[in-house]
Amino acid sequence: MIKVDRVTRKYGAFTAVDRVSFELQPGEIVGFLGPNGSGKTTLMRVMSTYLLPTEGTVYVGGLDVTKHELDVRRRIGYLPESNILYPQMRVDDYLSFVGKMRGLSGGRLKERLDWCVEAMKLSTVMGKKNMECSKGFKQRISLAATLIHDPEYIILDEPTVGLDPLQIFMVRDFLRLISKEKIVLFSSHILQEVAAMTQRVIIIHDGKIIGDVTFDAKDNRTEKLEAIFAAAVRGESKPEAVA
Amino acid sequence: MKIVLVIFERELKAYFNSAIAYIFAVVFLLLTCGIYMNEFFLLSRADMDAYFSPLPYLMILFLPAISMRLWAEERKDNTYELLSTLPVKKSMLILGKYAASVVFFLITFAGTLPIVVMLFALGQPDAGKIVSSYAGAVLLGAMYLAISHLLSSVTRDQIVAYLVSVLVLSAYYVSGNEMVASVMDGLWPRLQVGSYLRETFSAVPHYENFTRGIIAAQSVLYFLVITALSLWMTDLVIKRDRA
Repeated sequence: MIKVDRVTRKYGAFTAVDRVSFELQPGEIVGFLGPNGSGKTTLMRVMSTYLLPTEGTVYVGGLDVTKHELDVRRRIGYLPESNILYPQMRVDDYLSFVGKMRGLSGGRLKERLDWCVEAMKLSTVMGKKNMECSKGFKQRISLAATLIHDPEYIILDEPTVGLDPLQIFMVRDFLRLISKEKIVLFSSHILQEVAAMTQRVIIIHDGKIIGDVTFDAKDNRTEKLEAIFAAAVRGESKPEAVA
Repeated sequence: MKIVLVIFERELKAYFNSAIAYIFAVVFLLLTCGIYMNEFFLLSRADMDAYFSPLPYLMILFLPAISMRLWAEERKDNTYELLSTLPVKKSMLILGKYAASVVFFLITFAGTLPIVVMLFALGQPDAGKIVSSYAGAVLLGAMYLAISHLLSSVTRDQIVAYLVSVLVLSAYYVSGNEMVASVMDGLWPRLQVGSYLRETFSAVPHYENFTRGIIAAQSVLYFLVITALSLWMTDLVIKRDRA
């Protein structure tokens, strides 16, 4: 389980995330929706141990991210919004490097490298340098590096940026498949994308949770999200959980 | 320790994947050896005094070019976020990166060894003095690299890292120059600031011990302590980023 417990993160006087709380259960794939600058990336950075919270904390598998950062990092796969590729490195060397840094070696490393190539369809670029790959491939290489150690908790900041529609479908199906045993939290500012990928959406605006929506089969997801989001942005609703 | 080796290997390869590294090595060797050979033909002496005497000043110009990329490039390319969320202690990253920069410097510096061979072929140089001079140059270079490593960690711009390193190292080394010390003493005769700085703080007297053929424990310790202190401060700077 991931438990975000009254997390506040400030940059000087500016409050990027303001007393945010929610829980994620195993098997869930949860979308994190919000406009640009709403605090999604900051909160994900806190959850991934990249940043310390100003107040509150996050528990990942019962471990406090402020106290057990190395143990938490072993268990999570975090894809930052920004590029995480070394441009001059070859794709195979890069994935091998990240695998080794995550403690993989020998047969296990090879097994996971093969999995990355297969799952992300990277066979055609393995001998190329990262900088020679297209934007779509770069994003898939980043995703492969994020998942190379088979993490229990997956945190993805805008994972479909740079992908073409076909690749977005691929990532979507892939995340659905792996989320059966894991917790997947991914962010997006594109409402339709989040609606298509998840059963549950957490909406953030101005650093605050303004909605925690679980869809049922009858819902027109996009319409429902649009209604909640528009009302919240206009200030017509308070933070709430919507079933 | 295994992680240090993984980082070390990546960083060393990164040096050799970059054209700047080759340009650095060639220009460094041409300049230092060129200056020496000019003196060698003028004086016709089988020693390396003319090589090791201007070397500290030339290293101030060249060594920051090795270390300027160590952290600044990670920050600029956003790969810093990847490194910061891997289950690895920051001190391991610092040691791996630092070791790669020192080894790259040693490989370049090894390009001066044909001079030693030439001297032994032409005359009877003082082997002990040459060995101690090399030891002093390596310790001074390693210390310069540690200081510029620290300065690279506070910026995301490699050029800024380079220029600040050159300025700081120049001020640090020049403070030990006898002429500079006496000028400073002349400005504030009662305080004797120049002499105080030269005797207690500067690397010059310690380096000069080595070039005279003396390997003093006090001088070895001086270089090791400043190097360790700089790396420890780098660790503090990098850790502070989470807050």
